[in-house]
Amino acid sequence: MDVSRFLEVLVKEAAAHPDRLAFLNSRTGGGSSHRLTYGELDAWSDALAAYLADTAPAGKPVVIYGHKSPLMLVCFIAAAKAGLTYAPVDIAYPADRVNDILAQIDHPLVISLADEGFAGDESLAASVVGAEAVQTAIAAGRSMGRERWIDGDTPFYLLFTSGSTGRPKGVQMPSRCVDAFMDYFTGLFPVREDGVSFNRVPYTFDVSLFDIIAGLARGYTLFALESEDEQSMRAAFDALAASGLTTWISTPSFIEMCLADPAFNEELLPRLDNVILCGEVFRNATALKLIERFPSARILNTYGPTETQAVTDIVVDEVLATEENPLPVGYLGGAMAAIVRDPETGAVLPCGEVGEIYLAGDTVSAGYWARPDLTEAVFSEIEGEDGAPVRCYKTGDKGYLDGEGRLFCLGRLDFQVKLNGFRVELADVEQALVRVPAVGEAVVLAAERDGKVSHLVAHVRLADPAVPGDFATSRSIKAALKELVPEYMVPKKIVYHDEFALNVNGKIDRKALA
Amino acid sequence: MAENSVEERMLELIEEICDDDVIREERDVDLFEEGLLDSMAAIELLVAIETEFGVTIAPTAVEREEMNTVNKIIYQVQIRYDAQ
Repeated sequence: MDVSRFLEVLVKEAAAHPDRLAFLNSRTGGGSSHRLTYGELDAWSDALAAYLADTAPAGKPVVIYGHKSPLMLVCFIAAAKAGLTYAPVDIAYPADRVNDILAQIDHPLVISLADEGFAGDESLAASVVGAEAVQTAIAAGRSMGRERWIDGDTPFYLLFTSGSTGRPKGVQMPSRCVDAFMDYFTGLFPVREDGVSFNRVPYTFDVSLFDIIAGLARGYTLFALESEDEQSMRAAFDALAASGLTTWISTPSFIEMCLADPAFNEELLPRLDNVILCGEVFRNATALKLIERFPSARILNTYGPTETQAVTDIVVDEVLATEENPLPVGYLGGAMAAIVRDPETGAVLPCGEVGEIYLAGDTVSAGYWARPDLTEAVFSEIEGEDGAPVRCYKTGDKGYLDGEGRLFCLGRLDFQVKLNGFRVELADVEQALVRVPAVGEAVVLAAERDGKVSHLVAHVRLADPAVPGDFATSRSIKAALKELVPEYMVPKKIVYHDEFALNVNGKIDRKALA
Repeated sequence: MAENSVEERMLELIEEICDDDVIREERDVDLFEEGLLDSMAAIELLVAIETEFGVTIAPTAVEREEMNTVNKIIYQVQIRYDAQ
């Protein structure tokens, strides 16, 4: 079998430099618990894999619940070594959403590493084990052969993302896709023995895999910010200055926030030589500011939905940032093909014409967990150049290819939005809103500022017309909503309507609300 | 007179960023807690303040607790504006 090449590379890296840090977070204050060497990552994940092989229900993903910590990473690798899929769930998810994920997987083993304990309903899990059990398994120090290592079509990870049905959907990424992604993306990490990459985004977001897969394969140290340091820009900047960061990875939104402070420059991050941005529109003004602040760093714009991982990249220099608006998201060619089709007829469109982007290649996901209906709607097999079948994903993104093979992305064809890098289906928020008893009907729209989504606005008809649409009502609706969806999905503003205008099809006229 | 004008212009600015006129009434609620402001919008507000008043407040110069209500935001701008 084609056993995980990523694990092979990782183990080789660990043997070559066992004392090098694999993970470091900003809560470093002395203790050894917030840093992890390559040697520890390898040995601890072996020991934990042996425990998981005995404990976890066979064939079911293991849910790893927590935020950023060395043990999270150990758990991910341990699951892979035990031949098990891991499904990360972040502490930002409210109980309702956690329970939905548990129900979809159907009684998985849960490892809960959160300081605050597990938010979900334990009766929906096979069992819930905490950090102590993990520490005990690590201390037992059992070894683990390669015979159980994850391989081929077995999903390496399962990431749950916003679904338009009001329930999260799990994107399954097979081990062979992770290997293909490693082959491509490792090339974007400069070869250096003292590389440090920014592992900032939550593990539920596919961008976190950039350095978990490619960064570790390159022998980099993954650097994460503690959540308390995320709350204060001062603390975040101090932590960044101490990090020795060489590769920046974030959404354009986050780097825009940092750029608003004049202190975010080469002096703060003198070793930075590589900036990788992904997840949403990278605006020209942001690019130019970034080039000015970090003149010696290479800046890459990249693109790819969770369903395919990042598939394209392009170096953004001053010429490109001045001449092309919007910025291209990457060069196509090599392992991944992009096909632009007419959204109405499905006909393949020539260069320069705007249509729906389809991606075909080795990193296209196996589809959604236990949802063949959703999977069939957007995944297919097409014939590759050599005649062999290639998996293809219909992205829902609007865009075009130019004569140079560069891909441009112009937003969505449906009601999915990117809000500060978070992927949100507006229907997901609407479904949650109507579950709040005070709400009769709801439509959610995205408000934009300077060509980018700035926040969500909910238009609501209250269930009881006697209830006033005032601040107190908005406050209680938002509070109820926070119990159902992550906070970033809660609309900033609620507008009240006595009734909604209908369009010719008898549906709520969304355009009239905009 | 000058005081009123900073206050009124700031209310307009905050209303625009928060996209809600409720901020004119609820001047002491925690805007972050109420979901009216997030870290991204807070940075936008600082940039807008610089454009509007020529008052520079670096994101690293103020902690969230110092600028989490309408009244506190106006106060932070007012003291810097008066010092100019």
